Amino acid sequence: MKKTIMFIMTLLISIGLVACKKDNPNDVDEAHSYAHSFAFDNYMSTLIRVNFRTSSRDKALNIQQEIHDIYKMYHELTTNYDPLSVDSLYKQNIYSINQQKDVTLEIDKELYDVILLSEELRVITNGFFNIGIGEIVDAWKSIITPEELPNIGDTVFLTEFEVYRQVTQIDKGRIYVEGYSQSFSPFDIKMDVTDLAINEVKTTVSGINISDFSIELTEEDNRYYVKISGANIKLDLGAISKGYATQKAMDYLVSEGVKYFSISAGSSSIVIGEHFQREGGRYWIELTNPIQTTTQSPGYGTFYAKNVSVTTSGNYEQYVVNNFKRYHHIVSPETKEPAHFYHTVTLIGEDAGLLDALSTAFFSMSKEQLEIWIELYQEIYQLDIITFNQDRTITKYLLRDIDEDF
Amino acid sequence: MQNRNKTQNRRDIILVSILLVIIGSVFVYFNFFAYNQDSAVAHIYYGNSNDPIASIDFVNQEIKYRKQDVPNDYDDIYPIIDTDNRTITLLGDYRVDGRRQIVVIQYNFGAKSVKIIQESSPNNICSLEGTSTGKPLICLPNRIRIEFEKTYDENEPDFTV
Repeated sequence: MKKTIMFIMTLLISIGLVACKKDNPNDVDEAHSYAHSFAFDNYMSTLIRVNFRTSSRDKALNIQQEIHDIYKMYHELTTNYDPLSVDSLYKQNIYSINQQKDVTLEIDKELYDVILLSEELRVITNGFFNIGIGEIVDAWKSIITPEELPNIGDTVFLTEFEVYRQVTQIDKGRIYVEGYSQSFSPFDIKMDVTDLAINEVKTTVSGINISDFSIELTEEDNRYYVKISGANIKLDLGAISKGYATQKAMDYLVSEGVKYFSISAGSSSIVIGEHFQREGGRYWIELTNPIQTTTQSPGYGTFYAKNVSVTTSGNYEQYVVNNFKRYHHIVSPETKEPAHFYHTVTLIGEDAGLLDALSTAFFSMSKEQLEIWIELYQEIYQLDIITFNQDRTITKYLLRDIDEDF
Repeated sequence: MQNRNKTQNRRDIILVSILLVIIGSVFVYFNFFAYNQDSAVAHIYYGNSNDPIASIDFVNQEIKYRKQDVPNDYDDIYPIIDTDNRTITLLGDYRVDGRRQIVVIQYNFGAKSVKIIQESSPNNICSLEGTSTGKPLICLPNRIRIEFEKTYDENEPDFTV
């Protein structure tokens, strides 16, 4: 009897202790034993989210500080809204360069490298990526105003169905329109901007001559100089700086031996290492549906990837509607207007800065122009390109095996 | 007779020991191991609904919410989102003098934690639970519960770009 009781007790204690084992699906080596995540939104008007695994909390906090400093530096150097602070460590930034046309200015190597890459990309995109058209971009941004709730009787544009309808009722923040039994959120509709407003911007930008723009970059004894010329030239690095800084942050993580990581810079740009838990270490990435953009809407497709950058340029954020067309902040240097070929252009590649700039350039290229570029450069730059076209078809130009479902 | 009693006592002690071991193991597991993983989102539910009134997204550091249906004789619109004090206030079901009482939930993005800091109920069990980073918090008389979602869900994409 005693033995039976002892046996039952031993069994129960064993079961109890097994239940205390920590649930950990992976055998973690020490170098990746500590999971860390942080986010900040102080720079480039973007929420930066970083997740990674390293060996200890102390190391994670050091990495966090370094990444924060990388974004801070590129923000201060590339902003065209604010001058450098009086005690800044840097020589010039984009704001101060824009104030000093036709003057040769010494700049920091970090800023020199961004401008140099931008100029190289201007050449290989046949001018579709152009950092000198800040005045034109500003003119179009001026009509992109904050959303307002419509009034009953107003005509609104239903972004999903691309039709105009009159508002019949507004109840608890939901909008009802003629011909539809369902209600809409303010995110599902747009008010038309007037033809007058669009024409005013078109008149303004037609007066901006970009043919005399020049950006001279020189290097002498490890010192770096820039001189910009042109009556209407205004540098704007908004289409490259975020991706460029994100790539630098990724390079830093890799140099620290971090293998499992992700950095998300806003909703349009991510860099990823390996996924800690998913099979094969690949992340599962969803592509934003530019037609249905409410938070509950699914994307239009997904794919799997690791150790790459992914960037989307699209017309689904920051835009206004006029006569069925979306007028957004990505402006074609060729026509000086927002282009209407695609709703989104998504790139998968190895360098987030390159992707940020090229997705902006491709957005303004016609299908024919884009396919000529692909023929010349796709393999060199190892880019996968996915376009969600204006007619809602999807075109894929893929090199990688990404198990896509669209 | 005495021997029989002795045996009976010994058996009782063994039985109580076994029960203590089982209860102790379960207690240790749920308090120290079951909920020690990082959470991505904390969902706040009211009543039997599985559609959260508010969701605290620790990764994106944002609050998503929908309006809580409350009778017209309550002046405020719930939930009340106070981003300065990092609190979310819902109307619970527990009544004092015929009026439903509020439940105030405080969140901490950095610590990925949630705590119920104010509620009315007979024993105040849910506010005495303290801060949670993964263990569900349930305010039964108020019919409000908070459940956590882990950082990784194999059935959901990791990013939308």
